[in-house]
Amino acid sequence: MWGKTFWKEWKEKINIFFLALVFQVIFVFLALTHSSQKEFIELLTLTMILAFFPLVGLLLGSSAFYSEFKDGAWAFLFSRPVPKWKVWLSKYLSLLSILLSLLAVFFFLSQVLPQVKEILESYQFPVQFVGQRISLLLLGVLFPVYAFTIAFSISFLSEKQFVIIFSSLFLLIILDLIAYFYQKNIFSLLPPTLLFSSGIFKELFLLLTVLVASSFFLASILTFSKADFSQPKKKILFFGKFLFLFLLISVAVNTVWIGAKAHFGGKDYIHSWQLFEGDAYFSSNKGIYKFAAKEERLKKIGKPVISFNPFSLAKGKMAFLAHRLKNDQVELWLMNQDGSQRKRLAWRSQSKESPFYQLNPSSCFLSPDGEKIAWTALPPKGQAPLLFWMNSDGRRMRSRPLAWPSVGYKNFKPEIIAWTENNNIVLLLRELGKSGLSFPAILIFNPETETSTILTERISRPYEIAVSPGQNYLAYCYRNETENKEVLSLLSLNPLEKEKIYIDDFIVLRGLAWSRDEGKLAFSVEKSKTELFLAVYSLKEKRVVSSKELSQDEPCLYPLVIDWIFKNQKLVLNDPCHGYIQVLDEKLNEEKRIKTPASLKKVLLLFALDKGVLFKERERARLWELNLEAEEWKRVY
Amino acid sequence: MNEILRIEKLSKSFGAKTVLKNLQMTIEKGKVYGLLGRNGEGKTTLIRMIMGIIPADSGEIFYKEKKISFRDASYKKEIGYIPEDPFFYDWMTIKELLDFNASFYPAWESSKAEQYLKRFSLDQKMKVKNLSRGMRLKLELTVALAASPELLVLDDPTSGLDVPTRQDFLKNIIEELLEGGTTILFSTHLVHELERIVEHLYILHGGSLVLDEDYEGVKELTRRVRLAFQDTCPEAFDLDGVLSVERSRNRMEMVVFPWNEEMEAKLKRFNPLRMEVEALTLEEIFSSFVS
Repeated sequence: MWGKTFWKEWKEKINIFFLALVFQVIFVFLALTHSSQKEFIELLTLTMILAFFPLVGLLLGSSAFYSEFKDGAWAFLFSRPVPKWKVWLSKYLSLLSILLSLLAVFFFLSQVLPQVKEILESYQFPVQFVGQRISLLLLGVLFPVYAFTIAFSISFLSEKQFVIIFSSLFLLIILDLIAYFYQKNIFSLLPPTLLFSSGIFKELFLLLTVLVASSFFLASILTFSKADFSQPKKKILFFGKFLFLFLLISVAVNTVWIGAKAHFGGKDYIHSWQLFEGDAYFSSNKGIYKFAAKEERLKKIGKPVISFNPFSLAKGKMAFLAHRLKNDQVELWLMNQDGSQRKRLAWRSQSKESPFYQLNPSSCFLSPDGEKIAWTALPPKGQAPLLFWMNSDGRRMRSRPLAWPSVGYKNFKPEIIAWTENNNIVLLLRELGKSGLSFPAILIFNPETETSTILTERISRPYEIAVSPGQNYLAYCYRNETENKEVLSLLSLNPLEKEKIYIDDFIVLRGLAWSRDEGKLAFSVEKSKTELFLAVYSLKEKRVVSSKELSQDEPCLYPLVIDWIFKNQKLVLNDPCHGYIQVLDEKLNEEKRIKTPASLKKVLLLFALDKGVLFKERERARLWELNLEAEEWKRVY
Repeated sequence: MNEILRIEKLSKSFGAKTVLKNLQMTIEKGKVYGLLGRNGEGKTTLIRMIMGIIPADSGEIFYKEKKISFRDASYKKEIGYIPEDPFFYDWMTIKELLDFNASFYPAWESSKAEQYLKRFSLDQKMKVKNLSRGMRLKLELTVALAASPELLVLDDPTSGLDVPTRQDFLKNIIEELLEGGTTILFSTHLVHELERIVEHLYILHGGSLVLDEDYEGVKELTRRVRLAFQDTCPEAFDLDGVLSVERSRNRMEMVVFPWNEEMEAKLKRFNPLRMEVEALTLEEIFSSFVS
């Protein structure tokens, strides 16, 4: 029976199959003839995935029982000596196989079209909120099958195919809206740290999709097996009743699942980390921690927050931004470094009377004496960002818009990166709306005089900007357009002076590390995919005092993290792709090579501590300290 | 075990309208059962419930003494069914259709299918969409008969057939089936056709069976009686067994079932001048029962 049904359904729908194949041939033709137009290929591919195949699924599903039902000939189906649920299921599987075959053809064709293959493999479709994506490949299979299942499930409720098609479309939209509002509200059950836990949105999205489709599936098969088809209204009510019941169960299952996740905490994640006066501070889904390096003691100093920005630490105080993902709100908090006296200083308010009306804090910084705090805030689009500053006790709050027409960009996002001893606040101005790979400028602002100085060089590779530990220097990289070269530059913040350290035709700056006494700057540049160049610049001698070529077998996408150890005499560096840590002497010769234990998976060097070096596992929320002398790994967190 | 199908207290309503009410019926093997009723009396509804196409509101159906539910399907392997409007997949050829149906019936005999195709002059290669209504009915018959059913349920199957085929079916095919032990339940409104073949008669009216008798017995015991009186006809005339009465000034005409000596004696008590008794056709019997 199954074989005959498959054959029959395929033969009946062969026209749809071939028509869909013709469309795919047209797609291939267009992709080949426009291979140089990436955006066009992107549009084509997305159209196929997000529109064409779901429509095909809808069409196949809605036509499932058309031939039997159009003339009221459903009695014929039910008079056969086959259980009704088998009739339903055999049809479902047969038509699903047609849809999946078409998808398979498409994905096969994409393998021979490199650009399409790249789009399918690399594109991540935003599900919701930050950090959560679902691959286009997965969506490309899920969405058509989902649309097909919905349409198939209701296909016998009416004799008119157009009614089924429009009802299916309507249901898809309504379900999407309901799911959106349900998810948005249900997240209030989750702690903010869990919201950031990788995969939860994707899990929820997939779970909901499967549950909703299953509800339709079950309601349909039950109705088909048990309902009286001679009474159309009763049949529809029967279906509606079971659908409602199953959807309720789905919502309940989903909610219980979310509750379980909330209760059991979900996956831990380390968001940010900072070195201050030899101790490590970091935040995870479980809390804010301080690892006192000398005592080798870990202490929890605060409740969990999602904190993407670095902390600001100064004279016993600690300032940080906490992100509330569910309503896209950011709050500025200040507390003592032992976690006491925690208070909220700024947040985005919906009240027009509030000084923080519609202003999300975007970066914060404490003055070196800890007496003052400054932060930037982003208003709604089109308005200039603001710089706030006040005393740490909350008094004497001032603010000023940051708007410089000479910068030449309408929208930029300022980030405070330093507060010097001579009371200058140093800000980076990032371009909004772009990938953030270049800054228009560095801005120096004095809160007492409320004056500012701006540098107009375009700064490339913003993640390689490094402020020295005493906040007296800033090292950064920029592109010299005239000479068409990357330049590593040094900026003295106190007094303000610029100096070029290194000019060369390198591809990318891989790492920067200040010695703790601000006397030396180590840096590495990638000259080609396999050639690395490591150097040490002495501020006292104002020259590169040692350098070395490092070769690598294959390119590594991760930054090469370097740091100073053993009283700023030696360098430690970690290449995350190659699984070992190197210790280099003053002349940058390799003194030691320590292999990363396989059980630690891949590790990322954070910074050097008193006795060892702190590492974070890339895949898991674990911190390890490596004692470079004893070559021992000790788990810190 | 002589019984093939038994229905107990079967009821069905569509909205406020009760179509069948506590219906009881027993069908024995090897006979031809006629099911008569006016349009809308529930014949097709009853057949659909037997075939598991629609569920009953209450009551039970037993096939070979085994209770069957709406979900059951295996018993249908032994039942051939010909609905009033046959349905086929238009794009199939006759051969494809037969092959497709063969997969559902374990007792399918391809040789029988070929035989009937030949008998009905149907070409296997023809597409179903090119068949006339009559040809479709013949094809429907072929499909039903090739499955070698133990029970054949026919819901007004012959109304579209040409005369030779209808005669062939009613005379020869039914005979062959009976010889093979097939039981037939035949619902039709072409009452005169049933007359030749029916052995047991059911008449549905007002949601219940108003007649459940062997046909020969019904034929024998149903009579039209004409009475003539001296003066006017009697006013009160309420006798059991009188199915219908027509009056003129001094004449009465009635259909009576069962006609027997007792009934004759009762009528004579009204002192008619004249009494004439005559037999009825099946059509007339049917009309009387449903009037």
